[in-house]
Amino acid sequence: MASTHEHTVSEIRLPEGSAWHKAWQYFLAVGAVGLAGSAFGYHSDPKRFGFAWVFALTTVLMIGLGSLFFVVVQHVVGAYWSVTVRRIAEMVMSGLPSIVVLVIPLLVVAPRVYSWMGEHGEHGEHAAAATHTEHGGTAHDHGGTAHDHGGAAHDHADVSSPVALAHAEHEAEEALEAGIVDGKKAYLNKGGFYGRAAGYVAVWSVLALLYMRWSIKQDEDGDLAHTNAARSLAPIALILFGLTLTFAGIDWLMSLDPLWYSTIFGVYLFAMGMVSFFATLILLITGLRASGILVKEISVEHLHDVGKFQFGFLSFWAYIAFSQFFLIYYASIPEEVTFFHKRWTLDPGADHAWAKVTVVLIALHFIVPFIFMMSRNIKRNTSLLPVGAVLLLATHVIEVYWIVLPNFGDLSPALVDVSALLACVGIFFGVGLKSLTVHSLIAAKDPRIERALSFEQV
Amino acid sequence: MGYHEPLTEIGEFPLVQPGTTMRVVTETVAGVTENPAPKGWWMLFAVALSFLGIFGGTIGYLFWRGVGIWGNNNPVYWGWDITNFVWWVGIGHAGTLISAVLFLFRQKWRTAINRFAEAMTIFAVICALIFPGIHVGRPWLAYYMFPLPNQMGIWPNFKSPLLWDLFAVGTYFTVSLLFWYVGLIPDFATLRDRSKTQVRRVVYGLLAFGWRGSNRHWQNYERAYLILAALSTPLVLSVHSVVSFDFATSLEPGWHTTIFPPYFVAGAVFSGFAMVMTLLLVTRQVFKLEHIVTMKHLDLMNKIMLVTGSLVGYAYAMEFFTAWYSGNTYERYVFMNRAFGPYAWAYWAMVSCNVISPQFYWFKSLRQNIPLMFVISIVINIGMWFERFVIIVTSLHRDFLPGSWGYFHATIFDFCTYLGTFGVFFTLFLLFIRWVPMIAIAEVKATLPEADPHFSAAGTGSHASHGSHGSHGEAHGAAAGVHAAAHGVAE
Repeated sequence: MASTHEHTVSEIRLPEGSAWHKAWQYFLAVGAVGLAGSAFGYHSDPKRFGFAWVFALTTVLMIGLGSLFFVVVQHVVGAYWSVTVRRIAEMVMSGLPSIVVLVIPLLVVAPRVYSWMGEHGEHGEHAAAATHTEHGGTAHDHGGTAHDHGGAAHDHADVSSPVALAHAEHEAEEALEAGIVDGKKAYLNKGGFYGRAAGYVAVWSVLALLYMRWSIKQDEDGDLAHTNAARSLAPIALILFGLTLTFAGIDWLMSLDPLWYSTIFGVYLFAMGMVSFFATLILLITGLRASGILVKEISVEHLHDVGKFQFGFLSFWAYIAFSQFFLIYYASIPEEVTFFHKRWTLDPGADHAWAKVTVVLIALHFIVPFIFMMSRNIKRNTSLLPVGAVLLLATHVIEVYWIVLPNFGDLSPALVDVSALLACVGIFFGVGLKSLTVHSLIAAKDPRIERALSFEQV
Repeated sequence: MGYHEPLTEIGEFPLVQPGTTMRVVTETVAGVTENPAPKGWWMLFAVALSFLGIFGGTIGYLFWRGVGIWGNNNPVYWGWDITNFVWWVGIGHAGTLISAVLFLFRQKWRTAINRFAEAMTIFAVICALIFPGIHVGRPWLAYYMFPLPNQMGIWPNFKSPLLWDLFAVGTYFTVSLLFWYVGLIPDFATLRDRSKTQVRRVVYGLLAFGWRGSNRHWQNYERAYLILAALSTPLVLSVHSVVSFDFATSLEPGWHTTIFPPYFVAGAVFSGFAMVMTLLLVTRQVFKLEHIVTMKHLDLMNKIMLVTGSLVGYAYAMEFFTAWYSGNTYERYVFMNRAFGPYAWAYWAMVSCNVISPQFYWFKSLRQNIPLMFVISIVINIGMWFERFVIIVTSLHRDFLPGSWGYFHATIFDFCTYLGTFGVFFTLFLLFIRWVPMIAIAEVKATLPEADPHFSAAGTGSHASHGSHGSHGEAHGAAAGVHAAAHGVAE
């Protein structure tokens, strides 16, 4: 047996019967209600449900992956300040195995959500949703002279007329797009999609379980070997994390529009995950402290550091999101710029709803929280810091919605979105919070715990 | 935060070699500027001066004849000039990362290398700035780079990333210089107080700005240092992001890709660390600084190179994958052409140097092998030069019009200009080492065990002696010896 480290720190457990002790049951109940609503949503419109589920799953998945990254990085760098908050992060992380269940609806509805999986003609959807409705559903005959554009106002006998030309172009464009999507078959195919999904979920669950296990085992025996094991695996874990996050992002989000691509997308999702995770962590810490739990162990000094990370990653997120927007906007290449056109339609007569959501995101996901959280005093204020965290979590939900739903069509929030979100949040955090009821709230036998407890900002 | 012995069982380590006292730190670092220079320094200085001569000659000829003496052609309008510019700017990044970002992350091991790396930043940015200045070919028109109207009243295009570059690099240089200088003030005062000649006393006295080490001075100093660190951190990201915009805002396949900003930043930090490593290994040997810049520092730097090298590898892979995934014929062609076209040698040199060579650092024994890390640091620098060359030249040489495809041949003047900037860099660097404290004396001292109020010589060797949180409050003000005694009773 490897060496141990002498300890004077005792474990802290959630008081039995407290609201926090029962929280996991409330969450699971909410999840059950959400599941029922989702089942109804699936029954009435499976495609719409599919988009709602992709949105809900991504929302919690990003938080979960953020926690996994945080825990692994603490081991990689051998940080000591974070030992007291690590168990709370591990609690969020221990919700990750629930993705094994939560991913099933996605796999079931995938052929309806991802046009590249479906039959021919479906992947022209985004084009069809645009301004070509005046052509109606009538038969088009491009070879002959007779054209029926479905309206008396458009009586053109000549192929060179603007409408006919536009029409022919549209058809040609659809054929071209179908060809491009066809050219991606080596990656975008059903077998690959399901196989990779199984791989991602397996990697996340195994990593989460391993890191949780080492931490819990150390609570029992105080063996330093657990710290070393966690540290040894950490670099590999980070590589696996980076690859699975990137490719899951491509499979589940980017390929919603099979024509669009952006090399920074994986980094963007990573930034998003970190922002939402730190917001969650702040809410959990301040929530526990408000109930008189961990008040001494997780001091204002620790909260200050978590707040700094929140602020830092918020800035990083803004940097990455802006880079993606700015480079696409500046070059304005048709095949890339569609992403922002969908979310920033200013054509007269068109629906501007998504553009409004974009404005909300810029203001409330960046400008307001950035200014709010800059101050040291806010980061050390246990009642104001969570206000910023709530704002960032709310805008995280809106942001994921803004990434997923424009691929369905105009902004049309539905009850199924709420149901799916409740189902995913309820189940994910239900599983996570359960782990808090059975383990200590701090890693009492971690070799760095004393240093963490006496940590002060200098 | 009480004093604690490093727990070696979980890989912790002392920041300077045990036994290195405050006196040793002062003597060693200040001694470099006071004692006659070792032979090694003179030899290096002679080499640096001859390269500086090459630089002067080449630039003189360039101004006489114009940029036609370089290999730039149609369609490769940007060749070694911009490659060298991006390479040198990138090298500067490690200095800021070490001094500012690692400071904010409370990575105290940085103190042994930060001064050194910051100096490197400043000299590298100077070398970088030479290239935009000379690549216009007509030095009397260098003001075209600045936001000034020309003789016909036309302003430079504010929508051009080239103009943003001027602001970005200019700001970066200014803030880096301030940061470096603020850190130097207490150390200049140390040199002043140790001066034996009137000249040294006056010069270092002026440089030290009247520093007397009072409590007030330290308080202002710490605050200024923190603010400058906070300002420098976004600059690390912004400078190379704006440099990447020079390429990524264009429509050129191979240049226009969204991952460029973070990818350029990671690459910059990567190459900067490699350059710090190359310089550090030589200096550490010549001036015998092994007890301050320990093997552990080198090990940690190698780990950062492994991380940033792998990030760069991720970016290469994403670019390649997305070029294929995009279904865009031009994107696909550019990347296939890079890997298998006439410049395949440059592409694979880049991949082997940048992605494969740092993978040796997965093994601790190799991370602590000095000859190997010297070689790898140089290999990485070569690789990062090739990265910029590959991006710039391979994307341009076969553009949208096959009729104007071409190949870039560097001339002797391209080589000499590049080598010449090494002369500029090393001349400045060697002068810095000789006359300025190259290790942050005050900062290293603060990381010594005896600098901690909780330190006790009696407690050394016992892990159980570090401050537990319960007794922390009471023990805080107590003298070190008393603190240890209190612990003995408690246990």
